[in-house]
Amino acid sequence: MRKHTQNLVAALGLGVISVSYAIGAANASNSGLLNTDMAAPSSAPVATAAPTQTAAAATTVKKTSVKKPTVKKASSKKAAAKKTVKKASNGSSATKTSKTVSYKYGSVQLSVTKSGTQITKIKMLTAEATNGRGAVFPDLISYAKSANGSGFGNIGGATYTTDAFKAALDSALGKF
Amino acid sequence: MAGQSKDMTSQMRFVEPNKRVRLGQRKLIRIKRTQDLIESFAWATLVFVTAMFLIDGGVEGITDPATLWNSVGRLTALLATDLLLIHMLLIARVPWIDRLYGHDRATLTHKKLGKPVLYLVIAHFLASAINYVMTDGKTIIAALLELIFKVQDMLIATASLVLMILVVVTSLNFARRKLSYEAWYIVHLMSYAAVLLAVPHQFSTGADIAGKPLQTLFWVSLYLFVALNIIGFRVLAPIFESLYFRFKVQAINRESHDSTSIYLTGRNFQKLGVKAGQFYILRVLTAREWWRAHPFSISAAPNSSFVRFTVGNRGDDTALLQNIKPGTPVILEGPYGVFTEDRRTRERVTLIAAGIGAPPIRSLAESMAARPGDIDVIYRVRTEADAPLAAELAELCRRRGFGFHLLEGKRGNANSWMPDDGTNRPDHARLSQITPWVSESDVYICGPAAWTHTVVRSLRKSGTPENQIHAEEFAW
Repeated sequence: MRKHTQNLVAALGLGVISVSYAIGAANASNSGLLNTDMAAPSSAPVATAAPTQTAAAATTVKKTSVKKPTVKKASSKKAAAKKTVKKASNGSSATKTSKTVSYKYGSVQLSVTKSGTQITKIKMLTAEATNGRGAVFPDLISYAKSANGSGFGNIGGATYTTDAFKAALDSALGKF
Repeated sequence: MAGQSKDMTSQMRFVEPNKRVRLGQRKLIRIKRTQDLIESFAWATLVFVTAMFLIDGGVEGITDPATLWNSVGRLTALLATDLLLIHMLLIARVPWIDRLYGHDRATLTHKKLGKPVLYLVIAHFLASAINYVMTDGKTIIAALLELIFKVQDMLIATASLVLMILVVVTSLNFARRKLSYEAWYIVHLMSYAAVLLAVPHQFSTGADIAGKPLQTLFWVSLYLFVALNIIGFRVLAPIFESLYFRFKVQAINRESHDSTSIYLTGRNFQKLGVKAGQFYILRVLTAREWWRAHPFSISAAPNSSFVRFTVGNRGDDTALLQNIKPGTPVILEGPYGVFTEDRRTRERVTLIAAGIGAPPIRSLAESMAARPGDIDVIYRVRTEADAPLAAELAELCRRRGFGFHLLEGKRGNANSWMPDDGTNRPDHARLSQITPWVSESDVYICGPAAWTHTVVRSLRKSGTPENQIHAEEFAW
């Protein structure tokens, strides 16, 4: 390759990579829901992030730098949500176990503890996933608690696992 | 004996040389532009997979050691697969790559990519395994066994990894010295199996293809593109062409004590499309030899009645070729190489050959467009009496009015490519004396690799610009 083509390609390549890193960061800051084809968020903490989400669709680097404060807001709201959960947990609580959901990469079974109408605890009884998808279960649990149900988006790279988790969660919630 | 050979040379018939040739730098610039385009495209595929990985939150998704290993495993897999496909395309003897870079440069780049690809694949395996062990929370052995044997498509992917390691190890220099070309070749053929075995787990278990339309489109088309090029140009084209041309051995002719010319005939030779200086990969269709292919340059300018190779006896399969029977059918793959008049930019040309490097020089001298005095031929041999094609080259130069310089005898010192003349003058000084305009000419060099490098060095010293130096490396 000639020198000037080399420089041009290197500059363009680095540009594309940094822009896509910024986009990735912007998507991730929307409470960790990475997939672009996610369902419309329905629950409280995700809904507050919705306006910034449309901003994230834009590809400029500038916008992502503007977005950093909103990341903090989202996480502080999450923390606030957690606090309210703790308060609610003073009431009577019950635990139900889901059916076992089999899917592409294994099977999922969980138990849900509810205090009043609020989910306070989700325990994985069977949490099978392959090739690192198992890493999403802690996230799924925290999203489910925040959303107080299965109304949250997919996690990129673990769509099947997310679906299986949601199916198990719904089956447990159906027993209350 | 001497009278007899003189009689033979006067009977020699040569083809009509090319009438005209396009000279100048313009055509080189066009080639460079196309090269840049293709190389940029190759880099763009790497940037694309990295960018999609990042957009997908590949780096942002890292929250703990397990997800870190997951991301490392994904990125190394993406880069390794992309490079592996480029690596395979480079060796597919695809005409559009060959025409731009020559078979030698494509092969050298292929060789250079081998180890990095393997390192990336191993890194991918280790990172994925570590991630799996961490997230499963079982013992390392149990988790690894489960990963390899229980997870969909992972057993064959592991087999693919083992094969890839085998292929690269047998290609390392020390192994190549111990292995025969054929043993290495058979192991190398398994790399196709290795690549295919790795495909299922990329689509079924991989996080970066399934459910992502853009990435799926990219990878499916990349795989198809490479596969079609390989099947088309390495498998189908030689078969169809051999059916069309029906090459078979017509005669053999001993040229020196250790070299033989093989004459091939066939049909439709006016459609051959080979150029002087190019080579074919020759496959002799006998029960013992059909699977072994050998590269040989044509040693006479293209004509409508025969194709000729002049084969040195190096003690391996080339020894068997010295006594090949007339009538034996052969398959020719090719023609390949850019050691042709297409790369010529100047009116003056210097052709330099050593020993069995003479064939392409011989065919170039026969066909290049030139007026008397335009071309000088330098032929480096041990002894004149035992030099392949020396009589033919001398006769050609006599008839076309080219300078013919036969350099005979033992070389002066280890760094010289010329015979000892007792003066101890440097090669480039002697070269400038033999061909005073060497720095203003296109120089074509064909000979053993080490010798060729020495010649190129003295050409640089005598001031010949880099893009006027044409040397084909034997990259095997």
